[in-house]
Amino acid sequence: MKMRIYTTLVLSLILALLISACALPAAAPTEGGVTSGAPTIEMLYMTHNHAPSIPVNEAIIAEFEASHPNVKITFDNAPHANFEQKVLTAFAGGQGPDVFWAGDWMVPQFLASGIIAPVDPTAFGVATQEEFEALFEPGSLDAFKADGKIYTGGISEYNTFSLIYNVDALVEAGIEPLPKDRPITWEELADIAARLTVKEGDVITRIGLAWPFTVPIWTVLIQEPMLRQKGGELITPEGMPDFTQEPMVAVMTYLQQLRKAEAIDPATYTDLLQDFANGRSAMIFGGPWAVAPLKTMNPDLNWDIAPLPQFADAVERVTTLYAWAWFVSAKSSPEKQKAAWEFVNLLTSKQREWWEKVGYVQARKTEIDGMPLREYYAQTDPRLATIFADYAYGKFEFRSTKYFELSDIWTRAQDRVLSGEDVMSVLMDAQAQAEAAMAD
Amino acid sequence: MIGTSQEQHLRNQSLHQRRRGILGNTLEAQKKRFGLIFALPAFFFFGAFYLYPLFQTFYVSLFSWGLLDAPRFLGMANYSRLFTDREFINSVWVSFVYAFGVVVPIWFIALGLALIFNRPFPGRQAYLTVYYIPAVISLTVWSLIWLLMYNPTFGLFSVAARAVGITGLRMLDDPSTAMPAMIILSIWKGTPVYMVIFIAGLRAIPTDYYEAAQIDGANAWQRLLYITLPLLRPVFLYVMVISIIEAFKVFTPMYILTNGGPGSATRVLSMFIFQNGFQYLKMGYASAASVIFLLILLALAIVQFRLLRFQQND
Repeated sequence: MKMRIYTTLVLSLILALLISACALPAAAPTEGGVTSGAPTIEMLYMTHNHAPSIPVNEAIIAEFEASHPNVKITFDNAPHANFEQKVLTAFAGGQGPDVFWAGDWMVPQFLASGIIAPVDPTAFGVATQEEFEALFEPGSLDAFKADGKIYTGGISEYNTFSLIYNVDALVEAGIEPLPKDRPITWEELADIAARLTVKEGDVITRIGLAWPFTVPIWTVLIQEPMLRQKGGELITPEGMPDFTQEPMVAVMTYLQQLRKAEAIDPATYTDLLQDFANGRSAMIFGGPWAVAPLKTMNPDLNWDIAPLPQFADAVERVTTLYAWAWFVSAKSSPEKQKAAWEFVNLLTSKQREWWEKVGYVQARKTEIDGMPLREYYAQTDPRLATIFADYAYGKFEFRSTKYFELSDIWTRAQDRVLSGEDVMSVLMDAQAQAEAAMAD
Repeated sequence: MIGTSQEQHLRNQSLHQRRRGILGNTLEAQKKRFGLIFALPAFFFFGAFYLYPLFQTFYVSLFSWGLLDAPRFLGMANYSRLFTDREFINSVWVSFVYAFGVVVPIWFIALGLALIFNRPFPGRQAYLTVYYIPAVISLTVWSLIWLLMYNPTFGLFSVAARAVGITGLRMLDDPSTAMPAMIILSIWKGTPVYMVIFIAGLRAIPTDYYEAAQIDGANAWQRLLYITLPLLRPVFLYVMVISIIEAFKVFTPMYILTNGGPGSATRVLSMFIFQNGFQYLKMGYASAASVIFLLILLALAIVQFRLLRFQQND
């Protein structure tokens, strides 16, 4: 009898679990919205937790709530490394934010999943999407367009990469400071970086050039402009990745040569800015965000900025562009979306705060102290003018719903090439993996 | 006969009571009811947080599902794809290399240390505390410490290697040394935990056996071989099971130190599952890999439990 009861209990539980386990959400549930007659609109705003940005966000939230007494905003921030996963899993669980930050590389995934809403221009005081786009720097919203609509309320962090170098290290090596008005070639950079590497015995005490070699997004941000300068594109017009194209082979071969010449060495890398500030690396790639931290980390360091290098045989001058932007959830109710766009309008109107307190370059045009935005930024540090000149040649990263998988494949290929493996066989492996990824 | 009849009666009564089980009014039945009530929270906890995800994982593994879109039924297609996926096969291999590379040395080092620390000597507690420190440091912090230790320029590990004449060491950057680097830091971190378990096992062995053996003229080596090790078998097998499962579950050091690289040299199965599930949003595929992962662990556990039963019967 006892056994029967236990058996029945256990079987019932297993059956219940089986039945409930066999339930998958048909799709991300839709936000129910504010119930009619509810006095307040409650919104969830989610960002990553870059420390200086938190008080700025909080201050803007307070300002918005003061001017919109019927809106209550809950602010949530998550570690940078896993932020995107948190946003996606929140949406999958039906608890997605109403307003959130995300990188431009997420847009294809968001669009495919129907997560993000097209902008409501009226919240920004204009009537059409064209007028809305005119509020921003030309081209800055390109990564956020689809089907003739713009799917962001503005860019929270607008970036490109230039070459940041230690002037004293160059002078010690007998090299003239780099020109600001034209980019040096990647070939010249290889030679300079190799000469800047310092060794004691077989130990490298300063590496010529460094970037975060194991971070997939950096692989794309560094290599994709190179690829494009050579006339290549990772994604073909047919929408398939091409890792075995000639420009890719050339880029990977170039990187392998950099490694062989000890111009780069992934093993010596610990932290991009700290290594540079402490003299463990002589040159790095960085954007406007690097300027303020470098000045704080080592005020005595004599450094300058040069344009992003270009290949000698480049078919066109290309730099990189990437951005974090404010998105509004398409899952939110119309009332929430309306309030959310108004909130984003306020967020994008705080160009001075975002720059002075966080170091984020904004793309929404304005004048501060009687100066256009770029001019205002540049007067805080003249070196920034070189970075701003690089924006003009910027192209956003490749667009694919498989961005993370492809960038991982690219990084693994880079690892193997830097370890000395045959470039073509590595790229053929990468191609096979990429095709499998796309077939899913 | 009378005695037999009484015994039969008592047996029948006992059988009757047993059949009444937890539904009866006897003291035993009441105790069982209370026992069941007290066990229910654990039962439901186990069901909700272990059984349910287990079934859900298997169910999801039959679909193509990107978290945010509608699931598409694939049947066993995810499984058949896994067995042709070179990255998956590499991850399984890497996990095996890592797990056995870590646990085998741990078993012997932890046992050796336990034998040393089981004897009184001056400063034993202080040494024991020092040896146990790695076990209480969070794995994330531990990984960050070793990230610096392995730096070829200023890392302590590299400096020490150079001091003994080993030059040009690039532990995390070289595919041939990246996995040994992970194994070394994991052995260092895991050994103290198993050392303490072995010490507990050693202290449970009655001292009478050693005294008797000593009187019979057994030397230290014979006492170790014929008393300590045989009586430690259950503890050893427990350590084997737990350590292998723990080693297979590793994720943090690879995530922090190498991100699975160089190439895929340290891309263990848990990282493969994490990347496919939460970065590539291939939940069905990641679930299928998880089920395979579970089956591997289950097979290893069954082998070990069989061994344990065999040893106990022996």
